Amino acid sequence: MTTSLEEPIHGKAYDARLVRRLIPFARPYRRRFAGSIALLLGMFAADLVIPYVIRLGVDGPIADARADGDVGSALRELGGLVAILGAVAAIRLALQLGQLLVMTQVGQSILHDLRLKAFSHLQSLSLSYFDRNPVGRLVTRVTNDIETLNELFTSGVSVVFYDLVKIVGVIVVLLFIEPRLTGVALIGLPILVVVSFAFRNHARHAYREIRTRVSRLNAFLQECFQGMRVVQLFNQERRVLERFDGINAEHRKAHVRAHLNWSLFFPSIDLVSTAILAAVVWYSGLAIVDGEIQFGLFLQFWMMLGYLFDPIRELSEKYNVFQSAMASAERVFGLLDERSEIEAPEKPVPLEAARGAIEFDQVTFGYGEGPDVLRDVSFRIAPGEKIAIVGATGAGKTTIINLLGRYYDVRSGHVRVDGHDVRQLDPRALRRQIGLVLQDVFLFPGDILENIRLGDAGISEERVHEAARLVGADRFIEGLPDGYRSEVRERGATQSVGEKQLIAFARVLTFDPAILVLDEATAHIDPETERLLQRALEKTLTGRTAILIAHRLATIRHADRILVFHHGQLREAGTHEELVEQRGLYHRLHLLQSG
Amino acid sequence: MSRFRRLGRLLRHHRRWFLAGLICVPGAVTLELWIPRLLGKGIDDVERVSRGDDGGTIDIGDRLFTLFVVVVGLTALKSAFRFGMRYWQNVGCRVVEEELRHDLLAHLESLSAGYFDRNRTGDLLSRATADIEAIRMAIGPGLMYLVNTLLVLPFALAYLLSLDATLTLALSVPLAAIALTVRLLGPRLYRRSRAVQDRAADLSARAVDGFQGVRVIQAFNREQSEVDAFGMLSRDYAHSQLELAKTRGWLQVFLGAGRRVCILAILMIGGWAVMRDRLSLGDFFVFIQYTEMLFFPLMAFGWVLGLFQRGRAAWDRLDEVFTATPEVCAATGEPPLPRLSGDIRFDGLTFGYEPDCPVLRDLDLHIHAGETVGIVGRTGSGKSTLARLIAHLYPVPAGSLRLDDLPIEELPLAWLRHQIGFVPQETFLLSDTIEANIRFGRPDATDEAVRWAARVSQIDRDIVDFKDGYEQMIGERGVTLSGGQRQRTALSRAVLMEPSILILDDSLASVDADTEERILHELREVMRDRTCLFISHRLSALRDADRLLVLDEGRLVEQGCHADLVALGGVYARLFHQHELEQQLEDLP
Repeated sequence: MTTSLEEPIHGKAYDARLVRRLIPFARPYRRRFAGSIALLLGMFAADLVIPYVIRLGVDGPIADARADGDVGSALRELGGLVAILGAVAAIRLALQLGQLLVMTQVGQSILHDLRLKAFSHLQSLSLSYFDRNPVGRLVTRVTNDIETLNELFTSGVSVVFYDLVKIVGVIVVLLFIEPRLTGVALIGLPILVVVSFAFRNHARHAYREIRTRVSRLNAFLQECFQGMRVVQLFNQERRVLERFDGINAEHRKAHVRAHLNWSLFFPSIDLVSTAILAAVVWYSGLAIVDGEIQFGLFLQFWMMLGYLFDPIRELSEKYNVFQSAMASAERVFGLLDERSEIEAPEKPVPLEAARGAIEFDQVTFGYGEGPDVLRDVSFRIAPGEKIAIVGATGAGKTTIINLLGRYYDVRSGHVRVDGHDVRQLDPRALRRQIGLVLQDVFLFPGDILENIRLGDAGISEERVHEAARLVGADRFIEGLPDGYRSEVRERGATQSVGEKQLIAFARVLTFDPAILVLDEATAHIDPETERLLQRALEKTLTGRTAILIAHRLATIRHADRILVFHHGQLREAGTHEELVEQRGLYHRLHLLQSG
Repeated sequence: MSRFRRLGRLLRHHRRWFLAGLICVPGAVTLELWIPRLLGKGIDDVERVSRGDDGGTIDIGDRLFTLFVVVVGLTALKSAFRFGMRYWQNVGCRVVEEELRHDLLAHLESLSAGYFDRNRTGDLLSRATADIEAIRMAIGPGLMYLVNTLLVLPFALAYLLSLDATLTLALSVPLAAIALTVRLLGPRLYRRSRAVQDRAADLSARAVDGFQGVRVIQAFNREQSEVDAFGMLSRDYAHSQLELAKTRGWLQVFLGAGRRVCILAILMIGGWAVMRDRLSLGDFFVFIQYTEMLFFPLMAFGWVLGLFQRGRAAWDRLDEVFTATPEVCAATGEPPLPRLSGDIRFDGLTFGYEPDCPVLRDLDLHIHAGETVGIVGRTGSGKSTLARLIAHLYPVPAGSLRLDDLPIEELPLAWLRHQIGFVPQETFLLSDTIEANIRFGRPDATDEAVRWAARVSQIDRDIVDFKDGYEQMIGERGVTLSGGQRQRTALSRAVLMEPSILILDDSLASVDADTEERILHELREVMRDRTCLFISHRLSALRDADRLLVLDEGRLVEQGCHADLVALGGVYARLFHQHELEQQLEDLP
């Protein structure tokens, strides 16, 4: 599906800047690269030996036996050559297998390194980056784009080198064997090169066209399937189908044009190379009659020409590989160059035993280029104090959590924890001190145990059980088929909202942060779970500063103080009774919720 | 076999391409087999002349020149045949692919809404693309190489047998081994490439999780363990690639070994035959050429079988779609009335998307032609379902829903929907001009009508501000509309239909409250004689409706005008009170 959004490729096949950046990823494997090239050269040597041995056999024992009739000794001699040939062929195959395995391993290792680097880099970027970039695009970067680089490393670099060595090497050896015959073959060679590269150009255009057509087809079908209900409601089946026919036909035409290209390419190459070979037969025939060369040499020459034609054809195909690899490299490095908007300070103020004092000091904030979501908000929360934040949807409640954990930086003003501006703290140390229980608790793939201790092996299983027991999550967990080892499916689809919140409470008790942030679930929760949740909340609140985004009165009752937000501003503050007394915003919200 | 009937019909229909391609195959194969023999004859001539066996009768220069011309000429002819076989066959496949995809979409269009609830877009998309591609590969390259192999193999072997039976029999061992290797390793190759695909899917699923959950991951400082988990899958994936490479490598080794053994056998056994003058040098040369020529068809054999297997699996998946039948059964043929008046009657209707899970229960309801009705109730009370049934998107029990006193199943579907303007909750707009989107249901509408519909839906002012006005492209390759603009565009589309029944399924949720109220007011004017069903979560917008229907857990619990229902003090009164408070809060400065 990702293909539908991908821009068509038209970059360079070689970009020095990008290649320079790719080299460091290949460097740790330079020995294996060198080894692979050595293996390739070994293969090449073996390839040269095989036709030579055949020539020796044909011109030696076979020719001798025909001349003097001594078949027996000739056969022995031929047997010796065949044994050599067999040994060389076996070595050649072993080298080939080794080369393939080494290069696959190197290629896959480099890709693994790149993927890991890209993924961990993305994990370190601030949320604003994820607001701007759809998940689908990021996934394409770390999977498809990096995969495209595979061919560059595995077949690209060394095979291109190998092909060049082969072309030059074969020509040199041919010249050495029989210069005039080589001259005959070389007359045709430029034609072969020209034909190959002419088709390559066409192929590139055709390929680009196909990509565009395929993504159009996919995009249309996707739109169609998603909007099928509307299409049917408006009786537009026929017209949509007609439009699709146009796109479908364009798609076919693009492919047919490419087929035309390839259908011409292979026979043309065949024609040119056969003409060269036929010319070689012609010339060698005359030379044999004149006694200048023997039949075996002609056979060797014939077989070697095959080694020359293959790399010429392959090289022209490699161009496309390089081009798309460069385009992918460009995108991958673009991603690696992305800087996080949340920079950790170089010398962070240590935050070991946080007390949990929170202060918002004239904070103004908005997302991206958007309007202010919070305007000039100031409040203080003392260590251990419980605060409820209330307000209608869009009042800015969630934003307060985002700023407290420094997922975004303020536009102006300060957010302080224990008297330090959050920008002076290490974000990781800061977040360690904030326990989150969000509306939709995110469960990670893995079992319940790991979801409570969050992969921290330093936390014993007993401690996890203890925490679960304290919040009352033990009952439902132990009722699961594998207890704490039960796997969480698809982000907790099988757990109810209430159960997921209980797990989140257990997390908080396990990690014991100084600050608890609770965004209460709004979904319907059965009275039994509701009772459990309230008890869990009480347990979790003790000894912690708490910010409760409360939707139910029962929760608000736990708060020492209530902050009322409206349109991004702090409008009222005080205890429940004080605020009800004021008959302002809170009073109305209260009425709404109790209705 | 009957399940392949559709494919067979398509192939028959486009047989000229395939026949043209197939006719070229024997020509190409004949020349392919003939040219090496000509070269072999030439070599024999050379041999004879150089040994002086010809007695000076052969002008070797002339012979070799003729040979060169003939070989190049025949190769040109062979190239032409090969071009024809590749090109026409491929064109044929692409035409069949195109038509198959057309048929697939056409069939999907005939299926009911329920089918699309059950089958996700991604799945349908992969059938329309990847599966059709697999079928194309089977009927295209698959069939072509099969025919090619079946022709080359017997003729080449027969000729070689006539030259030297011992050598041919010796060669048949490694050649058979090659075919067998491909056949045996083929399934493993396929399994391992499937494993690579599966690992790749795991990896990207994990990446999706990692990016979607990044907020939580950062909140809990879980970056490292996420990276570790991703790293593990990435390593698994790399490992699966390596496993695949190993299979490929061994395949190459076996094939290479078979090929080398052939050369060795020719050199040894063929050399022996040449020594004893049982085989000429030219025929020795033909042996080398023919064995080279046989490798590809033999390897292709195993590959082709794999293609056929995959093509069959893909066809099964496609056939699942083709055999699905629409759940909504409606009469075809002439409509019983010229036009609907808009009278709707539910008679004890019970309906659920899943059996045993009713969403609407025992619904008895009569909506009169020309009436404006507001439907209210909590989320999940069945409001949208009621609306969808009127458009006959889902099948209803016979006789339980009547329009103009006719059972809905007796009304032709297209005719019915032509008279219903339905604006669903989720807006669907095409990546096209805004005008084309408004005209969606009535491509022939006049410009005046389009502008009128836009005015009624209050989208005209926005359109005027666009750079290209009504010609403005929207969506991926144009401007991005706001949620409210999208909804108003979707509304204008329904208004343009001038329907007998207009249904708004909470379709103005992203429009601000004042505008919604203005639009509904305007609609009541425009739709004065028509039936209107409005669903909205803003109850105040529905206050003026002739009648309000209150649904609760699938049952009609209250109905009447606004004032009566408020006075009743039941479900509606509570909902409305809550809504008013919300409204007041929102309106506070």
